[in-house]
Amino acid sequence: MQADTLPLLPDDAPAGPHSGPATTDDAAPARQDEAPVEYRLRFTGTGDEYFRIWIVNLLLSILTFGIYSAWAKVRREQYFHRNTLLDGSGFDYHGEPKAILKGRIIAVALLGTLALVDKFAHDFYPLALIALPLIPWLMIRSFVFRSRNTSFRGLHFDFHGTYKGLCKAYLVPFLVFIALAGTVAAVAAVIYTTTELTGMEGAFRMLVFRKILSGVSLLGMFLLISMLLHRLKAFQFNNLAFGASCFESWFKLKSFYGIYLRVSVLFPLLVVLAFAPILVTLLLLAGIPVGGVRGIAPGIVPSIAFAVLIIAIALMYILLLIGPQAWFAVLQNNLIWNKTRLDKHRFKSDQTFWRFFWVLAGNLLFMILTLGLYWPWARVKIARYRAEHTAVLAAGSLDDFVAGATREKSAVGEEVAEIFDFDFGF
Amino acid sequence: MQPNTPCLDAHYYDGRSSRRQPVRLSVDDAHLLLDSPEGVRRSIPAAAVRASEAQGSAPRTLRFVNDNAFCEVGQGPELDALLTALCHRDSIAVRLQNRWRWALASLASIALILLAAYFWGLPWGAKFIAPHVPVTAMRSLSDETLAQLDKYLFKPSALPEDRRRKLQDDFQKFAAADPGLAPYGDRLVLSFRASPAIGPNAFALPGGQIVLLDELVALYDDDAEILAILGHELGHLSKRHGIRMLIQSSAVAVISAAWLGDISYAVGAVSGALLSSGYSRDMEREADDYAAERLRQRGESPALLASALEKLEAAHHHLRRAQKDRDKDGGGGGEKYLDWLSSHPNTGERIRQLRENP
Ligand SMILES: [Zn+2]
Repeated sequence: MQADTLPLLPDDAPAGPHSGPATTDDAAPARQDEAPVEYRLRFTGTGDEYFRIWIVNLLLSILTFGIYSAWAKVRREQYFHRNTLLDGSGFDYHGEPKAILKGRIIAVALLGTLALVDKFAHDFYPLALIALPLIPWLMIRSFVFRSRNTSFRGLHFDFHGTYKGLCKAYLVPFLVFIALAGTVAAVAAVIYTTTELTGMEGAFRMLVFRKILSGVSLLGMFLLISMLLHRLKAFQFNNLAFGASCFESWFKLKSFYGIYLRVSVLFPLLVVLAFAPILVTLLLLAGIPVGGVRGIAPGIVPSIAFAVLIIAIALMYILLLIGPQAWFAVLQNNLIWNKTRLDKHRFKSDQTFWRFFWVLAGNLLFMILTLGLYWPWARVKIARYRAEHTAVLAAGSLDDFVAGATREKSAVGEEVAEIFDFDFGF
Repeated sequence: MQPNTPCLDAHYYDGRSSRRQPVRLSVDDAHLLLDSPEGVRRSIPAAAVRASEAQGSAPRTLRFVNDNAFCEVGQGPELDALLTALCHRDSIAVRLQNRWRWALASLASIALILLAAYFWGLPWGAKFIAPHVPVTAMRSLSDETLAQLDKYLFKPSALPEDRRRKLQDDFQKFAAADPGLAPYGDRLVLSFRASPAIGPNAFALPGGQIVLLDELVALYDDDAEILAILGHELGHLSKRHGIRMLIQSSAVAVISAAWLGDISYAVGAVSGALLSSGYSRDMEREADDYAAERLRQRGESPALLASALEKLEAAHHHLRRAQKDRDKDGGGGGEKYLDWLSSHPNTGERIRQLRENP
């Protein structure tokens, strides 16, 4: 039988490098000038299938008082991994339900103890602060669990990040935060003690001062969040490995400033600017006074205008509700994947805001209309959009990866960390 | 190769590299045979083959015990035949989730379970837990509620001091006879307030305070009738109805948040409405039964509560009519919060019950 009748090869699979110009050595990496081959991810799952899996496993989980949820989780992960195909081969998920269950029981017991201490022995609650250094550790264990249990073509991903590495990544943003907060507090103290703040003029000065202070704090938060996010993503992607090959990312901090600026300032501003004239016109047409001006419109125009006004306000609300979230996800995914490589292979992410916004908006609408039953279809739609707008730009064959050092047995805490499931964005 | 054994093409991965090799699978003598032009030739006992669950139309994997190598196979009748030949059987869950019939049956079962949990499980569970919740946990909530009500709805009582003292003494004597009320301690007091906006009424706060409005006191010539109404409110406290409602509504909030996740904020309003709605029909009856029992103990008739409720209802009907007239006159915007009639829709039935069981 010929290879082209193999059931696994997608119709649009590009010719592999083997059929391209021959290199001097089979094992040698492809020449630098060779155009990379684009392998786009495909997602073959459907909402109908996933709904059936979801609802049956939900029932089993309810009937077993949550015990079965570990098996349900493995099915869910396997469904989304295995239906994601790259060059005709699927990803796979290897989480063990029993290990996950064990981890969940331990995690629930720990959280329960913490809650009980909070309830009945409040004086001892500061002791819970001891658990604080556990958070970076749990994050790393969670990343390790996720990556080690993901495989492609029989090779597992791995995560090499260390506790020290994560602490170091967070140290600079933390110091910046301390320095900033300290400066603001010091300046505030100086101004409060040296400036006359009574009387009419004093009150005004106080007001201006407060506005400046809150502006500075906001800016500080903005810088801090961007920095934290950049550090975390860099830590995640520079410690990720596939087999013996390591991922490498070089996205810049200033790109994250750009993303945050666009999502948290530019977007709401644009929405308000775009909607303001529409809303004012509609208000006037509906006979509602705006700033002392009252519009007069004949006949049924006011009632129509009122209905349109309600719709416009709802639209604006939805835009402000999920717009920033959609734009943030799109910008971040594009930035990260377009500036990441695995050995000589590059990635491409070409998500666009409006397309992803429509996916999320449709999901929200149908979720509300179906009282949440639309959830499986919503998940599938998001997974499909993400897959279809991500590609691997392979310089050479995808056949050349080799397994890393023998995989260690799952380390302590991985399963416990699983319950927290820190997002890998991956 | 025998003509009858199923055979199909697959991909083979050795687990050491990402290399993909085409391979032909067949079954012979309870062994899975792998054969590829590139030199893979293996025979694996059927018992050592682990087929992955079918996940939609995604390729399935055949893994081998104690081996990192595996095959990836597209789905279809050939694979089904191969798996049958290997004596592989899907788990029950997989068979259930492959059929719409079972998926819809699961959906119906979940709906039934949720409904049963809401109408029976939740009240039962709350009733079970409520006695174990220390009433002290309700104190700050009750104090806060009373402070809010004082701010927006209540005015100080205009009752003379000696009248108040008399009612307080009667009430304390009435309450002291029930040891079930002991946990409320010194919080179990009558708080006198006035509120023209609400009209004649009395409330029990879950921490133990019972608010008695001047308008209600003015309604009755006989203090025994006031005490009958207070007996009903004591019933709410003794049976811990406030705590039970709180447990129920927080359970609903938690479950709806878990179910709806991202859109739970849309449902937050609904659970909020549940929280603010009055006691359930069963709870009102329980409180009535409690009051009737206590009245009998004192050698009085439960009909006392019935007549007190009758007067209360008549007064509220009158208030409501007056409100409507005022609205018609263009006054509008009248205060309508805590309308007694809409939170006690079955008063006629309750009065009949009390009269029938003297
Ligand atoms: Zn009542």
